[in-house]
Parts: sequence; structure tokens; C-alpha cells
Amino acid sequence: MSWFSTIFTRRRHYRDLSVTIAEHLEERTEELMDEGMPRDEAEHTARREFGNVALLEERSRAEWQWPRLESLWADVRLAARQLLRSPGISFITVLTLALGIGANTAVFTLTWNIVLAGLPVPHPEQLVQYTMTKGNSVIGLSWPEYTILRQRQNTSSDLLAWNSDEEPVRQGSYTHSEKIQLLTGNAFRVLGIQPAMGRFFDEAEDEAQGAKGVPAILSYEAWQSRFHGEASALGQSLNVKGHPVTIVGVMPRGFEGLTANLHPMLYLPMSFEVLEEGEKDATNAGQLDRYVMGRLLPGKTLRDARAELQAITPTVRKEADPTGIFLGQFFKDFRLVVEPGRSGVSWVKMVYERPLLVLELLMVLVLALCCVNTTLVMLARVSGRQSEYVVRVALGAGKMRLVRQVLIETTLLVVPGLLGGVFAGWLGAHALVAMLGDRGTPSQMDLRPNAVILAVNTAAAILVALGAGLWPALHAAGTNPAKGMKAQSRSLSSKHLGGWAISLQIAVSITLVAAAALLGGTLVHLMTENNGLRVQNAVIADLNLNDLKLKSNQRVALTSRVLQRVQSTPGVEAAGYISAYPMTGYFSATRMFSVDRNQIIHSKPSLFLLQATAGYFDAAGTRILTGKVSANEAGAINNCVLSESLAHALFPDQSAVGELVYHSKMGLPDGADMDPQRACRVTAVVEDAKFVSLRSPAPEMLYDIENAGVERKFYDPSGILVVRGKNTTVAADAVKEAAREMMPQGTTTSVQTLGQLMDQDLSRERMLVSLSGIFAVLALLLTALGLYGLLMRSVTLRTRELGIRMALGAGRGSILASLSRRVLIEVAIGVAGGLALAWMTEGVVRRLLTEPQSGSAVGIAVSGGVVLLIAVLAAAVPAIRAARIDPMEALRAE
Amino acid sequence: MEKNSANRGLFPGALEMMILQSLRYKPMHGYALVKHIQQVSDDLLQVEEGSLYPALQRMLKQGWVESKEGVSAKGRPTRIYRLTQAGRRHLEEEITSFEKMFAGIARVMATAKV
Repeated sequence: MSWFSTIFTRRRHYRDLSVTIAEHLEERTEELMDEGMPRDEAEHTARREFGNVALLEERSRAEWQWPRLESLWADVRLAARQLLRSPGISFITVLTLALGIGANTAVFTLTWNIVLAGLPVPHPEQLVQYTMTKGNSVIGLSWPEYTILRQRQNTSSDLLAWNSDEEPVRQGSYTHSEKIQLLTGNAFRVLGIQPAMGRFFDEAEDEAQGAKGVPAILSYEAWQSRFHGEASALGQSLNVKGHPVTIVGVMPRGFEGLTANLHPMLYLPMSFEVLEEGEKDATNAGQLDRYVMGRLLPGKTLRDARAELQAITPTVRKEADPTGIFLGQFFKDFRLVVEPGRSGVSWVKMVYERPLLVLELLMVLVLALCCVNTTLVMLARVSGRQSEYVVRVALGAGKMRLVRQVLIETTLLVVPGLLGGVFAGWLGAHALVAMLGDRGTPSQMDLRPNAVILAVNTAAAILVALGAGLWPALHAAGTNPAKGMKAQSRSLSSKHLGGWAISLQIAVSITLVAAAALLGGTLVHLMTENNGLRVQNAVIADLNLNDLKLKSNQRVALTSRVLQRVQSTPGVEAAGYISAYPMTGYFSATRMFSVDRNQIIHSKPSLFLLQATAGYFDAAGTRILTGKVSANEAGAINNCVLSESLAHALFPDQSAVGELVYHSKMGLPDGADMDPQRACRVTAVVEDAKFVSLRSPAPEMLYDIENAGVERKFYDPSGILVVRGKNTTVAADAVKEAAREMMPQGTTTSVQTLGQLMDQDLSRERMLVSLSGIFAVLALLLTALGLYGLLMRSVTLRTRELGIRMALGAGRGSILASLSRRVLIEVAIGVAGGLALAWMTEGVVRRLLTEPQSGSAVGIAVSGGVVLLIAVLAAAVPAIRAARIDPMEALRAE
Repeated sequence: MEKNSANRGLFPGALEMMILQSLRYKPMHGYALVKHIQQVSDDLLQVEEGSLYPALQRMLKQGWVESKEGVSAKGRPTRIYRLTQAGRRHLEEEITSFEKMFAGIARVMATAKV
């Protein structure tokens, strides 16, 4: 009999079975009656002889079934019916699970994409990366360093080098600034990738230095967007900064360059740099901008590479810079290191790796909370259905069957939670990426759902289901039929249920609230402290001068005209140019020195040199402490302004105003050459400003003063204009108006408020704060719900008992006391545990986020107070209800 | 599920064989089968209901027996089980192998006595 005809005919068999068994019992009864037994007794005896009819029928029917599968299905249906009987609670439980799993998905998606996922090349784990590192600063290698290292090392099959740039690219009549990555010819071999179309260039072509034309590889994205994915893209010519290049191939899909999230449009041979800058500059020992990657030989490990590097570093440094000026002086403190290269160079990884770890840590706590909450819901369900379990056990249900039943019910709550959570988390991850800011940090990040993310979340969900269901399941399995039957008529006490859960929820809540408070406090501190820049009412504009083909003198004249026009606009209070964007992480190091009044030479190997016009300081809100910012006088030594800390370092116990600061001369010790032509005169000292980033300490800064409109050697106007007005609208409109009038057709001027720049600089902190805030609110909500539900249930179950006690004369006060005593103990345990856990978590967070974090014991104490307050509020309603019990009503009710 | 607990003491297939053999004698309903086996074995064998009904369902599924609506001796509706052609063949095979096994056991027992 085939299986499906079995399914159709089995109902008839079940019926036949029942009829036969009924007749069986009937005949036996009659037989016993014939022997002289009364009917009642005969029926009873027949049944007893026969045994458990229901069980036997079930066992007989099982012959037609797939018993395991079908009983599972029956359990699932029962579980679904049970859940639908209290849709509100089920919905809230699913919702909290979805929120928990959603947050986990969102955070893990980012963690995966930023921290864990490697480059889309075969075996990214074999890749190693060589950089020059000093603390948190990471720079590349010089060309000579790369070539010598490549010859000397024996742990990798070969080393490739790359660097990235932004250049004007002309396609037909359309020119736009594009990101470009330069790769050595061996890169494709080392990476082991294949072109999506066409071919890659090789080492011979790279070494030819463009003698036979420059081959270019198009990114897959650019191929799709610019060439509609057509094969005709091959052979087409583009113009990169005036040099024609020919497209010979297309990068494989998903390959976005070796610098994470950079998304270069075009890949060119490394020798393109020689074409651009000339042999001398391209191979300059002081230009440390080549990132180097190798693929470890089979059997070699990162440890081998490190040992080898340590052994050959002295040789490499010496041979790569025989004069010793760069590697021996300027970059003395930068160490040559080799690190895992699976992600390539990823600034976003450097910035977000640790915050993401913090979030993952908090995430574990949130999931634990979801788990506890689900446990409480299931415990309540299980204890509410005690009588059902009693009947089932009495009918012969096995313990495992009860455990399974409860676990299935938990799973039915977790599965929709998982599905909803993964979907919500997917959207959440995109929202988070948008929060990562767009200047300095990437706005483009491809988030791909993948098996790993799904698997991690499913595993998390299964853990939650098991964790949440196991305790209630064992509770159900512990049902004792005899005791249960007796207990049915009595009021159940809630004593043995869920007390520990209250403590746990409160402890975890305090930890999450304290973490949010710590991170929030840090953000507020960073936003409100005096950072030497006053962002209110100020805007920053980029005239995008690089898009124009202008000579230096034309640029100077144009920027001067724009500045004058902006300054003359009513409502504008100050305006000035600065040579770099503040708060974007940009930093450059220059070596200068001073001679103080005691003829002591003070060298500063890495001060931050910027060029500013005089109006910049008022516009940016950097206060002048002493002296006066004044424009340069014709023929005199150029003026400059020092930051307070630099002034103190260069002129320790005297006023810096009026003194000279000299540029160091390459290859000469400081003080040997004191050429006034290479010096500037300090006219003012200004307060320290956190120009690089609000979260790094204020750098020692020297502002070279430039006169707008006056050409000078090394002065190349940046076109970055800071304007302070009555309000930001006035300031922004002034710039836009000036740009519209003065700037040539077709140019764009981007205007942002300084506040926006600050927000972007703090995007990492804001992401941490918003997420930890969401976690904290979720925690408070779950705790309140859990406490409320548990107490309400306890009051409901004990209504009768309380009624009796009241009838016997117990006051409302003593009723409340008896109800709250246990809860108070549980809450107290929770608070104590919470304070300890919060303190430990804060330690870990501080260690992970090395920047100074505000917050303290006070923050933790306040968090404890907040959680306590929420707990009291949640407990108030059930307590009031208990106090209002009317003994008459309570006794009448069953 | 403890399917075979009731067959304890009998070798596997013994219950089926006896049911089939009984049904070859004549089609019967469940209670009649119990009585029949009890009678012909002179009360030596008591078939438990707990094994009989699952066994009947198993044999229905195998197609060795079929069930038909019928009336019991007392005139009430019941289901009569009847041997099919396949059941008859299966019974023959079972009997053959049972006889072989029985002969084997008998010989061993005889040798052991000496």
C-alpha cells in the first residue's frame, strides 16, 4: 500500500478499530454477566482486564502513522493553540525577541562586514600586510622600503604594493574627480583574482612605465554604471590627470580595492606615479604612502613573518634611506610591522573595531535579558497549566513528551522572533551604516546578507529558545500527578517561580543603563567641552578648486574675490580660509624648531602646520590668548600663529609673540641653519583646538598666515572657507551667493555647518550612544514587564489567601509587606549584582575604548536608582491591586 | 512505545502466525480471535489485547488480512477480519520456517538430554 493511500484509508481503519474494541468490551461484559456479575461490575471488570483503551487505540493507530512526526505535529498544533489563547502576551514576547535578535543582527552585520569579513580573494587569511605604525597612526612604506623588503623577505611568495589617490578622470567630455588605486604588476598574481572581463596588466607592463600606453582596469561598479556592463568598454580610452589610459579589463564583481570601502573607479599600474610625478618624487625615500601586502608561503605563519621582519628591519631601514633623514629622523618612531592582511587597509575597521566589540558585549547582555523574559513568560504558562500536565501525566504521558511540548512552545515564540528580528536587523544595519558619517568615514558600504550572519543569529535564537524553555520544561516535567491533583483546589504560591529572574533582569538592566550612561556622558562631554572650535553659527565651505584647471595666481585671485564678497555680506561676522578640514582626522607632520632667549634650541619633529588667512580664527571661534593675528607685510618675514601648547613647547618660559620659528632643513641638525627666509614670526598665541578629531588630544599647531590675494611660494589656496554669521543660514547663504557670482560656471561649492562636521566626527560615539540607549530602554521595558507580570500573577493566584487573611483581620499594610518582602529581597540581590556587573562592564568598555570616557561610580549609582525606580513603578500596580482586595469578593471567587 | 512487551515469551512473529492460522480456520472479529486462541490452546496461551490490536493493524497494513463490516454473534456491528491471498502465502512461509526452527530446537534439546 503506498503511503498516500495509507493516509486516505487510515481514517476508516481508526473507525473500524474503535468499533471492534467497543464490541470486544461489550462481549466480555455480557460474558461476565452470564457468569452472574451485575452489569456495573462486569463493565468495570471488562475494562480493567482490557487495559487503557485510549493508549491501546493510540498504539494501534500508530501502526498507520509516522509516530514521531505526527506526535510532533500534534505538539506544534497544541502549542500554537496555547499561544493564541493569550495573543497579547505571545505578541509582546515575540516582539521583545524580535527586538533582541534584530539588534543582534544589526550589530553583527556590521561586525561581520567591518571586522570579520576578508577581502574577496581566495584564502584572504594567508595575506599579511606591512605598514609603518606609531601608536594609532598607520602609514605606508616608501618605494625603496618596499623594493628592499620585497627582495629580502622569504616568508611570502611575493609582495605587492598599492596606494590610492583621487584624480580628475575624463571620459569623453565629462571630467570628474575619481578614486584611483595604483597596483604593482604582480598584485593580481599575489591576490589570485581573475578579471570579470578582458585581462589584467602584468609586471612587464608596470615596469614599462607607460612606454606602450598605460593599461587600466575598470572596477565592476564603474563598468556597470559608466559602460552599462558592455564589452565595448574594453579598449576605450580615458584621461587621468592629463595622461591617456586604455581600459584592458574589468575587476571581478565584489572586489572594491585593497583599501576597505574606498571603491576606486580605476586601477592603474604603480608606475603611473612616475608618469605623474617623475621618477625622483615617485621613488622618494620620504614618501611613505605604499601599502604592502604579501601572501604567506605554505607552512609559513604570521609569527614567522614577524620574526623575519624583526631580523631584517635594520637592513631595510638603512638601505631604503641611506641618508637616514626620513627613517632615521622624521619617521624615527614609526615601526615597520607586519599584521594580518585579510581585510586590507581598513580605516573603518580601525575606528569601529573596538566600538563594535563593546556593542557585541552589550548585545550578549540584551540577548540574556530576552532569554530571561521569555523564560518568565513560559514559566507563567507552565505553572498556569499545572492541571493539564497533571491529567496528561495521569494518562501516561512521558516526561520527555512534556519537556518537548514546552520546548516546542518556546520555539514557536522564538521562530517568528528570529524571522522578524533578522529582517528588522537588516534594516537596522543600513541605518547604522548611514550613521557612520560620510567625511573621513565611508558612507558606501555593501552589506550583504550571508550565511554566516544568518547562522550566527539562528544559533543565538536557538540558544535563547533552549535557555528560555529548558527551565520551564523541567518544571513541567517535574509534575507529580498525586500532588498536583491535591494542589489544584488550593491557591498556588508563586514563591518558587521566577524570583531569580527578577534579580537577573535588574542586574542586567543596571549594567546596560550604566553602559549607556557612560557612553552618553562621553558624547555629551565631547560635544560640550571647550575644544577650541565654536561650532555654533559657523559653516565650512569647499569651493572645490581642484575641479578647475587654474594656475596658482588665478586660484589666489579667485579665492580672494570670494572672501571679499562673503565678508561684505550683511550678517557675516568673520570669514577665513584654512588649508584643511577640521575634525576629519586629517593630520600632517612638519619638523620645525625655535631658539629661546637662553639660546636653547627646541625641536618639534611633528607639529601640525596649516595655512590660514587672518579671519579664520574669529570664524572658527578659536580664541586669541596673546598678541594679535595680523596680515603679512610686504617684504617682511611671514607671520604665524602658535597654539598654546606649541608656544609653551617652543618657548618654555617666555612669551612667544615676536619670536621666530624655523623650518628644519633636510639632512641638517636643527639650529645649524637659521635662515630667516625659512622662518615665520609669531604674532599671536591661540587656544589649543581639537582640530584633528574631537576624540584625539589637541595637536600642537602652527598656523602660517597667508594674505588672501597675495601669491607666495608654497601657498596654494585650499578653497576651504570657514564663515561665521548671525546664524548658519546667513553664513551659508553668503557663501552660496558669493560662489554663484564669482565662481566659474559648472563648479560646485559644498557647504556644511561646523556642527555637522562635529556630528560626523562623533558618528562613532553617536552610534554607540544610540545603540546602547536602545539596549537600555529595551532592558528597562523588559524588566518592568517581567516584574509587573510576575507580581500580578502572584496577586491573582493568592487572591483567595489574601482575602482570608484580610477577613481574619490582617491590615492592608501587613498584606503589602508580606507580598513585597520576597520581591524586595530579589530586587536587592539584583541591584547588588547589577552594581558589580556594571562596574566590571565599565572596566571592559574603558579598556576597549582607549579614549578618555566620562562617567564614574556616580553614573553607575544613578543607573541603579533609575532601574530601582522603574522596578517600583512596575510593582506599584499589583501592590495597589492587592491592597484593594475585597475579602468578600475574594472568598466568593474561585 | 513498547510494541513488543506483550509478546514477551513468544518468538517474533508467533502472534501473527497464530492469528493468521486462526483466521484461516474462519474470519473472526477481535474478541472472537482472543477466545479462539485461548480455547484451542486449552487456556495455555492468553493473547493480550495490548498486542492483538496493534498486530492486527500491522497485518492490515501488510495486506495479509482485510477487514469487513459484519455483525457479532450477539448481532451488534463489528469488524470481521479475513485472511487474504497474500496472508495465506505468508502463513505458509512462516509455518515452514517455524517447523524448521522447531525441529532444530527439538534436536538440540534431545542431544542435551543424553
